[in-house]
Amino acid sequence: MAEDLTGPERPAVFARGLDFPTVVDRQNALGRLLDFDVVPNGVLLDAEGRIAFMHVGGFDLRRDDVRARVEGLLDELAERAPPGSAPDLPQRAPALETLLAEVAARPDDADLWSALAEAQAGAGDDAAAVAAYERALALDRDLWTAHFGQGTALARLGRGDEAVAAWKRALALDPANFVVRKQIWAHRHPDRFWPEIDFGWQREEMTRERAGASDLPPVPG
Amino acid sequence: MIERAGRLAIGDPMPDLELPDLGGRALRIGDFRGRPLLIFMWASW
Repeated sequence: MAEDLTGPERPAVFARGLDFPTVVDRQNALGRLLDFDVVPNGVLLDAEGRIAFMHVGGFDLRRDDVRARVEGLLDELAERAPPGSAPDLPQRAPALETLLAEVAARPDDADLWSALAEAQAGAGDDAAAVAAYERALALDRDLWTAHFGQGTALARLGRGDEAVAAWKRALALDPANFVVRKQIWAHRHPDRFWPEIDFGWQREEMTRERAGASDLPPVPG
Repeated sequence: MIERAGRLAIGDPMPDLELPDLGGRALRIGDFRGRPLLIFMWASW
């Protein structure tokens, strides 16, 4: 699952040759469900779709200890997998039509407007999403998800400067969130991320931002 | 290694997220029910 906010083009290159499905989480939906602010991460679900294991940050199956742990858990889960069909998983979000009806009934609910915007963005209507996020932010200026989502929708509309401004507002609310911070880096310095990722540059940038030598909110710690 | 539970905790059912694959085809987490599923989250940045 690639947490690339701007689409499948770049992860497609890195995922070439993989023998498992790769999906793109442009809305950082899973990140928000699991409350993570970094990657790489690993989540293991049992056969019924329940979370059996989470490893946030630095999840690397090339490491012997990590691989052994995951393989052990997979063996355990395979042994206790129940025969027959597993129960349905909970639906994540109501349909777009439902959200439109709900915001009409409760137009003062910032979370509802943000959920509508997310659904619109997921359906590919980024312009409508930007407007709905704006409605959410007019009601609650500290709604992190709305700043974040609005930035992502703006980026896909080619409104880069506005996207960075929205992501910076999200980062100001959550300076430890590296999903947002690194998305800003990637947007501002595409040459450091494409066609190869320059990890040395990232370390230097981190040092600069820890020292407050950037227009971004300082890295905590 | 950090193991923690965020908004969802260990033991919680994962909501049935639907996300597009690299070709735009929609995949749901529920498509993989009936067997363990390892989700690896990464990014190109």
